[in-house]
Amino acid sequence: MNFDSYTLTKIAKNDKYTTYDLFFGPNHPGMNGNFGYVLDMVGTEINNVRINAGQLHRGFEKLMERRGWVQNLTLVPRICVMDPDPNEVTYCMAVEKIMNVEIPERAKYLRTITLEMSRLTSLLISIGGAGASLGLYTIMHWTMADRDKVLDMFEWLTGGRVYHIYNIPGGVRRDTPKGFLEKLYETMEYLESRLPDYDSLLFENPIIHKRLKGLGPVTKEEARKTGLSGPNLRASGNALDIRKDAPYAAYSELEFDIITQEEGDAFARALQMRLEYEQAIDLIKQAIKKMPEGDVHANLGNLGMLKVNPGEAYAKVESSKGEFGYYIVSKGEKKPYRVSVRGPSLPAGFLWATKHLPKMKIDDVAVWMGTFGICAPDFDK
Amino acid sequence: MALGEKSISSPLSAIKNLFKKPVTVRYPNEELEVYSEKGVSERFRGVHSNDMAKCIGCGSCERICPVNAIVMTLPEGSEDTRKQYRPKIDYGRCCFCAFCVDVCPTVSLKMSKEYDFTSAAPMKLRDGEEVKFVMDEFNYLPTDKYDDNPGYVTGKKKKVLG
Amino acid sequence: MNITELLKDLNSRGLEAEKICDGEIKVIANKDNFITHLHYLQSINYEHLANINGVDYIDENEFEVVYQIYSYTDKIHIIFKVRIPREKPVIQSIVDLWEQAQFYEREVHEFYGIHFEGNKDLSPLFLEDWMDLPPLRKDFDTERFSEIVMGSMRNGGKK
Repeated sequence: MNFDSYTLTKIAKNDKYTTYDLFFGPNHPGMNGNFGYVLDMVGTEINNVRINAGQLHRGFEKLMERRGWVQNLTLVPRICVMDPDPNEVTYCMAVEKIMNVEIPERAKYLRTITLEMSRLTSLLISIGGAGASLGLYTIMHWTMADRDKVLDMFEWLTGGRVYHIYNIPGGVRRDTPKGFLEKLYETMEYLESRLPDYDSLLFENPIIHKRLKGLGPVTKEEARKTGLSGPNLRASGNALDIRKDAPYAAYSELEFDIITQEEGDAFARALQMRLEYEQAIDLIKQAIKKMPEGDVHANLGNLGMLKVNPGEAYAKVESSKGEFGYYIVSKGEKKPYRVSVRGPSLPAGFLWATKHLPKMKIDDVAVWMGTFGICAPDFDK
Repeated sequence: MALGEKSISSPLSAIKNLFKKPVTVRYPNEELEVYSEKGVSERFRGVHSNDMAKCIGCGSCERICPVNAIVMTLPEGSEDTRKQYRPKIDYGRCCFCAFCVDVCPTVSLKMSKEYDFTSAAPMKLRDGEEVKFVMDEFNYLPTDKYDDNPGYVTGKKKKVLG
Repeated sequence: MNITELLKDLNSRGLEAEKICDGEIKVIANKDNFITHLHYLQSINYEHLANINGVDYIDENEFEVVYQIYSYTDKIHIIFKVRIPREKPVIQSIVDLWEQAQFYEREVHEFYGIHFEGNKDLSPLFLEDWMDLPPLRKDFDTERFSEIVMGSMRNGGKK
């Protein structure tokens, strides 16, 4: 049949509304975080992308220049909402590099345990989000219920569920309460027993395989050159991990391998998240068994009137989405001179959007964002 | 089963969730039962409480607060010396970080396990007046009302902040 | 190569390089010929550009543009600094070397007012309809801005 002879297609070719602007905007149910793309569309295919960011800009870099070194610790975890602990640890690491201070052994293991627990909460949201942006809401309900168990453990240790404010320059604030480590071990065993349910619902689902395989490919050299980091880098075949290259906290004494995938598409990134979740549970169990006794922070004097000697440093940490980096300049006074924050989602959210989104269908944008790990608060600051 | 194995009864494996207890807690008819005592944990950072006899009015909590939520004020009927000033906290600004509890030298300022802090404005107030009424109620002078329910308690002697 | 060889190599090319701590060095370059040095660094496997920052040194009347570069084979991080005068803040762009530099330079232009020659699109990224000074400069007073534009007050009266 000759479809050109149909009158409807003849009319549609001369219609001035075949191309239109769609605001895939700040308020969308498939979006995580508040930021938007302005999509130039033809039918259901995307032609061009403009970026509409800045809805979560709170001005942290200017606010941190007016407060003392310890008072900034209340601002720092609020930069990334899902994964607040890497921010505190990186800020403290940069200050300790400038002051040339070593932290005690027990503090290193406590920092490792809180970092890995924070990685679990962030990965649970990402796994739920990858399913929910395709319409499968059951997996999101299950992962949010399991995340509550980890937040209860955080409340017992530090006093707060989401923003802990537990790390200070020189170590951690308080020691563990009685009975904490045994209950944490039981929680980790419960989380491991839930994994077969997640697998049979999400990762072995043939519909998910069809939707996600082949979407948004990234090759091995491109991933290194454009600044991707974390699970996105490892899902394209590079075996690179900050916990092995430049070890911090207690990672040089724990045993783990680097996990990689070959294809580099959206399904490989989702599978990488699930395998790193299993690795994080194993790391916490190892750290609980090996924990030494001792002090929990080094003596640096009265921290309310801390003065850091002049200098500059750059510290970085592997979070659940990639590399978090802080660049701090100090001039020898009670307040920092410049604090600059590098979030891990900027190359993925800005550069790869202009490369992948044209020629993609509108149905796949939400799940592309969910598997790439784009989190708006850490580049809006 | 391990990742990658398929079975024909996979969809039916979700039926066991029919017989489990739900995760939600029907507050206030039920209470949380996670820790050794009912309710929130033993280090919870809730509403402040101050022991008026032990507080010496030194002002360390005012100097370390990162958001300027604490102002030292003179309660009614006291003479105007430094020792009689007491901290007054603005709960619109407080971020519950507990730095003020860590630097108190006499262990008089504590945080309790209370988290319910409501105020009921009378119905006859209009727009701007109702906002001003609530703002006045949120500026709270902690007394020893919640001292029997302590949550986060440290002090300068424990050297938490150096 | 390890840190001592790298320091000798960079010092012999006319740059000032010194070590901060284990695994980190800092390099100071001139604004006229820093692009040839960045080409050379990219050719010896320093391929990860993490960020581009600006710093405002108002006492010395200069801006400073800082490039954070890392190598996955040597495992050394370089803090590469270039100074430009404060009255005429213009510098060359490095979009041809690294593609993600386009968005990093957009952010530095918006917050400091530094112009990057060669970058096709320097429109504002985060702020909308901003009429004042670029916000991260040291002579922008945030307390006066919040009092006049937003009408907020300090708790407990003036300091």
